[in-house]
Amino acid sequence: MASGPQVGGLREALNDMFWLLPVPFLLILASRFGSMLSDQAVVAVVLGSAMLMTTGMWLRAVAGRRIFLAGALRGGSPWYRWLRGGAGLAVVSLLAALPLAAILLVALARPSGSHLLIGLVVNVPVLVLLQRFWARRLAAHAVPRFQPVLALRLALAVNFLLLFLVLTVAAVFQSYPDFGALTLTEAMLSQAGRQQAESGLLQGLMQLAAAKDALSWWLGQQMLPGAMRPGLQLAAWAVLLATNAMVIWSYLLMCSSVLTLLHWRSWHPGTGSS
Amino acid sequence: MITETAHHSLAGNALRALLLLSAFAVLAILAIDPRLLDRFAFSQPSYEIILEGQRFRVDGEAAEAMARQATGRADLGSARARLVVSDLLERELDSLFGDARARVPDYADWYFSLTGEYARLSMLILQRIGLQNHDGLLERAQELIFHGGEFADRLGSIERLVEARLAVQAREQRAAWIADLRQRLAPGYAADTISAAPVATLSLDDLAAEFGGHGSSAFLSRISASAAGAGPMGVAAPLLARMAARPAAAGLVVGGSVAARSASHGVARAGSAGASALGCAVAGPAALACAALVGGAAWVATDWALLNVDAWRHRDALVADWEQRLDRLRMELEAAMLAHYDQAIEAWREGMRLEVERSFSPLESIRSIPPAPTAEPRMAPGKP
Repeated sequence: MASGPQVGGLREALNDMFWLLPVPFLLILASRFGSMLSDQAVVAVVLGSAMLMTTGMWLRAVAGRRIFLAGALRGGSPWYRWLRGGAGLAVVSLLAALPLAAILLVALARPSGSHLLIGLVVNVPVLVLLQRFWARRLAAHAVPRFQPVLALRLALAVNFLLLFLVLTVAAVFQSYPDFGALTLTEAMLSQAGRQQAESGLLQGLMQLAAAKDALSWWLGQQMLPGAMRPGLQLAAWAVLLATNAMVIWSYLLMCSSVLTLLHWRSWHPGTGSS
Repeated sequence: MITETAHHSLAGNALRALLLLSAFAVLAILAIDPRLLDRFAFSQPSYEIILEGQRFRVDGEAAEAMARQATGRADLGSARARLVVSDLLERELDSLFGDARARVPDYADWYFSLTGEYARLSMLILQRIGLQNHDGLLERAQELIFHGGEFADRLGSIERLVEARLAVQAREQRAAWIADLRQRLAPGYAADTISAAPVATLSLDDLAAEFGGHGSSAFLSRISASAAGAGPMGVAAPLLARMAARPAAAGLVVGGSVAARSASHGVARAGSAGASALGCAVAGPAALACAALVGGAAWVATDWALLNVDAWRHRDALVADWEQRLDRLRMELEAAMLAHYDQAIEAWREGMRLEVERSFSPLESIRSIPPAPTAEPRMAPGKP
């Protein structure tokens, strides 16, 4: 008798993983063929990705707003309806999602090691399992209407930390071009010059990203005497890790959006005040 | 009923898990090597060709054809270079040795002249008493037949001529290869016609430089280096020494060595001089001066007569002997020089083939192209 819910939960988890698989697959496609896209295709891909991310971001924003309103306003207040979050939150989410989608596409289209793509594939079951774990842990504590979104939020936070840790370790052991004998300008220009893409728009973004990478690598390789050296290296690592963080967060947003679309009815906190 | 449903659910989950694992495996493989997607997205992988700063996109088949064409061009180019060198050497050596052969009668004239006779005699005496170590007769022969340093100068000019011709040949080969490539690239292989991401970039500029011999000066340096400093004159010197050491022809041996013939001539001279001097006895007090004058004249006249007899008997044999020596020297020199340039051309060909292999190394099939058999150079007879 007890195996029924367990089997059902497992099936749901497996289904979630199935639905999430297209995300890393599409990103692998983007990494392979992204540099061949035309300007229009690049814009379409970025817009599509941003729209997908917006779904998840908007749902979490709505849940957050509802939680705040539930604690701040009386049950019958008309403000509840005005402040509950709708199109305005969606537009804000879309505006935040657009740069993240562009960053993700640029990061994937630029030639890099396979560790990022492998990390994205392996992350699919991790996210689903974390979401299940937190949903179960919060069952006895969270308000039922907010429980799924809270579980997703916690799962995303933990998943972000895990993926960030993995990519940081990979970044530590990665080999970088030697810029010791170059000036900062030369280093940035040489890296920017290596970027090639069919789309001028994407190529420009890739060149910016390459120049940023060159900046961080160059800073990290400056052997200046005194207290400057650790400071520069710290700055270099900060730039590098900030980029990694944004790429990871973009990817997790896409995954969370897929899960949100799948469980929209059950996860939505509803329109009422209670 | 509940158990049956649970079993179905379990089987469904197991099936899902299996499918999921397979999907993860596929995704992991694609993540490790996204180029595998090209096989599904495009009919065949494409390669980017960089030639003289321009980028072209070709499919794998065309790239392989280019690699084979380049290898064939390297073999053809080296074979043509051998032919060019062979023809050029034949022509130049014909001219050089034709002139030398034309001077052999001059040597024979000197040999059978009084000047030659007394020069040989004095050389013999100087050698006997140890004042002269080198072979003066050979030096005189080389001076008369080869005009001294002119032989070395002409060999040097042949060397420069061959190297310049090889450099021209390399430039022509580079131009022809690039023209072939451009013809192949021009109609349907512009970068835009194939949309697949290139599997690899093949830069052919280094190969073009190798085909062109890296420019005249570098090419000539390579030719010199490949022969370890043994230029044509270096090749010719031992052959000249060997030619001199060769025994004389039978006719000259019959005539005897310089010493033996000088001795026999001496007896005749002394006889005729003595007989002539006896006639001066009637001159009284002037008999001694008369004997010296008349005896000397008789000595020279006898010598001249004997030399004429010698010339009549052995001159043709001497000329034939020297012509034979020159023919042999020419043959050996041509063979040695051909071997010298063949070594350089073979090094060039090997360099081109290695560069083809390196430039097209991303193509798996290129590594399996068997090395072409070395084109047998057209060597002159007598090549070691």
